[in-house]
Amino acid sequence: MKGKKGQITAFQLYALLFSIQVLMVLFINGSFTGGNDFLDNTVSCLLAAGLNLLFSLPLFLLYRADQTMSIPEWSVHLLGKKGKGVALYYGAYLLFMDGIYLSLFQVLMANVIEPHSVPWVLSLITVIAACYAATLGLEASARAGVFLMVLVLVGTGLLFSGLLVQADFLHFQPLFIDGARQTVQGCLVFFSFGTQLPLLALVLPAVRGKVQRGFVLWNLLTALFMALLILVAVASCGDYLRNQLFPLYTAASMARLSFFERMDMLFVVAWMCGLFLKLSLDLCLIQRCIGFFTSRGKYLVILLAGGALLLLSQVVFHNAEFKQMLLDLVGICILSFIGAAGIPWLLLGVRKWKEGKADEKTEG
Amino acid sequence: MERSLSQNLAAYRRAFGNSADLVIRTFAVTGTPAATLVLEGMVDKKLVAEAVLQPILNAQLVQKEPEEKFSYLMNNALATVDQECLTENKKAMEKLMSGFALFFLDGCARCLAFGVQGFVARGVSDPQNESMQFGSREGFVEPLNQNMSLLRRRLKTPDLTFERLSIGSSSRTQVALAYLRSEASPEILRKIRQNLKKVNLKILLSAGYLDAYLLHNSHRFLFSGTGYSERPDTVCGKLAEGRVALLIDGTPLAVVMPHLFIENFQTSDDYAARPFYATFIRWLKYIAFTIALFLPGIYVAITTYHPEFLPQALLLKIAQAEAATPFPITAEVLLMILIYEIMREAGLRVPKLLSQAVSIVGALVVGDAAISSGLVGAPTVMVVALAAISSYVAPKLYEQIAVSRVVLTLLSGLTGFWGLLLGALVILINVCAQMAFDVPFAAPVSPTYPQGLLDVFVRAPWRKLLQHNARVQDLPGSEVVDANER
Repeated sequence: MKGKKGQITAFQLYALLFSIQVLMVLFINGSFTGGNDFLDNTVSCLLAAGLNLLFSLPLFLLYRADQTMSIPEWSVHLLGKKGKGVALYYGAYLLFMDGIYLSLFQVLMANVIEPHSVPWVLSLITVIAACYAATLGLEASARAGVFLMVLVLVGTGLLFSGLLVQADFLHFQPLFIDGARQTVQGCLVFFSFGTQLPLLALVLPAVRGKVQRGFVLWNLLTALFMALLILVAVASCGDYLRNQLFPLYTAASMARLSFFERMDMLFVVAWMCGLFLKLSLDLCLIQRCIGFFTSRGKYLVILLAGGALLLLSQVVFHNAEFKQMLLDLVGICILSFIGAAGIPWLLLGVRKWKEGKADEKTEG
Repeated sequence: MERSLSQNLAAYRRAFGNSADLVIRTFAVTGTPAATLVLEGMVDKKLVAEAVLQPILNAQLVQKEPEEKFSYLMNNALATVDQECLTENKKAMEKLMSGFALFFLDGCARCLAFGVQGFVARGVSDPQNESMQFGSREGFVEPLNQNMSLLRRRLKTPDLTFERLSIGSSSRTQVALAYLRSEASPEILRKIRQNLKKVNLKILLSAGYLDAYLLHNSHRFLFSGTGYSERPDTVCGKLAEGRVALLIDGTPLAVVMPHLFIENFQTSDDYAARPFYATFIRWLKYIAFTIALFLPGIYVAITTYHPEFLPQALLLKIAQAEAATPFPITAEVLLMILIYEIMREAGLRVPKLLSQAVSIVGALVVGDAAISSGLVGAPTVMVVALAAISSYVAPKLYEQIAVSRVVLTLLSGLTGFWGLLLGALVILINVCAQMAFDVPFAAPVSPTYPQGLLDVFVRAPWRKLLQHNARVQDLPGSEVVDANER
């Protein structure tokens, strides 16, 4: 398939989103999902996939109406200058979520992997690298996404094998043993921390190929993949994962495959690749959102967004009150819902209303 | 040009500042003053005497007017193949400087240029930097015409086209674009021509001068979207895939465009060897490239920040060797890389007679004295040496490997494995971002062309390769849009 400047294929998009989505499953723990029955989160993954499908409807309805417009463009088209606020919302939302992801990365480094490391230095070089990648554009990230998806798949494949060797069915407990609350909360975590729908709201016009069919397939396969990862981790480590800060990291560090003993390296590589891709893609999209207000200083916008991201992650990492406030699941859920479905529903409604009004005028 | 011979000759003497190599021979053609101009050392004197002077002087001319005499000589008397009538001094001077002889006749405002080049040139020999086990022993040489004939001899098809251009306001270097009309993309050709027209160099002495002009934003990328080859057979293979070659007079290599990342690992030997062996060699190259680029960084990161990743026995060995050395491992590795690069550069520039001495000193100082004096640990020397040797497996990537290796080692020394990984990701995204004449540099891996992978991760048998032989402009993700597709 011939390319077009600034455009990526559906396969590249979903490969990119796969690496990003897997990143999410790596940091979930009992405190996020509201309980220690890790196995229940396999159902949460699948439920979240269902929510994604449901909430993607308005987005794809707008996409079908005009494949060349992103949601902020629809907003400007329907609401005029006021519609630019939508672009600002998406930009701020991505910045906020990236700040959280980056702070979680610092938590992982400082508390689990490298207690003697200086987290802000690591965050700084990560942000610099992501800023550089963002300046190279969406196509560069998309092409790199295919490479990294293969890397993540190979890494997790080895991890699966390493964990399966130690699997014991006695580790499985019945599902919903403490009720369905954790499953529901886990589902909300998976839905709200996976920023794919707001991402699609911005990126869809730059994608060619079977976007809708690809989304359904990607959504189901990624959910199954994550569920399987959790299932195998529980089968291998059982109750030991209950009180771990990063259960999957713990499982990875316990996995053994013949002479290959340090499987946690694979975990860390997957995490780093996912984080790098997420930050670079989001910074690129944030720049596009800011582009609704000014067309100048593309590199400066990316640099400023990177700086803001670093600052936010430091605040979340160092200030416990802020951390508690910003990591509030209900708040994040609402923000994600607005970006994923709220704004598209609203725009769909405005469009219908405007069309109805136009019809009335013609009839009149 | 003037009608008067003396005025014309004066103009040439003035233009060349009475240069010693400008040879002007004056004589009369049945009473009309005439002259031939050549540049000493650029022409074959025997050929000038036999093919130019003798026919002119022996011609039985009945015409009286100079113009008529000139026309008769041009059409009936002279026996050279490459002959042109010129009316502008600028063009005539270009011809003169390219080894042509000029013939002037008094009373005519034009001259004849004869291709009688006979300058000393190196004979066709084995390519120095691209040796092959099974292929031809012929490599490009300096004269442009000879290089064109080396291609023509291998591609006996009228489809092969050469386009001559001249680049460099002072050097007026002759270059030739070579391509197969049915395979090359007109759009890529248009871009190359357009970019070559923009070259504002005074002097063009080698192919490297043109890289920045041929590719837009080439300075932003680590790797180059233009490739080089010293081998006519390799270039012919590339032309068959729709690529365009640029031959430069005085340069014993061809610039091939567009050039993709994966081509740095492909050699003509791969296609001559058995598929299983070629696949094995291909993987060996990928592994060697990875070692050359990352091994010093991995060594620094693991020994400095993550020693738990090493098996206990190996860790103890390294610790034992490093315990007696005065520098931290990062400094040690960087020092060794620096010493190695100095030795390499010295070996490259030093007269051949002395190169053996440089090698002996290098081996003694680095290999023996540094370790026995306790300045550097033996594992460090081994790691740097292994990385250095590995970088010669993909020699076209040496520049990139050498620089990236230092940066990655520094990053590893500063932040451990994370810095190394991020450095690797930055290199990856840099490769993925590049477009070589609107063809993705990372193709056919990403954007993925499954059939193209048959010549990437394996070297499939010829029958299979021929079934999926795609031209470079047809690779997925290519933004080359030719006129008929518009």
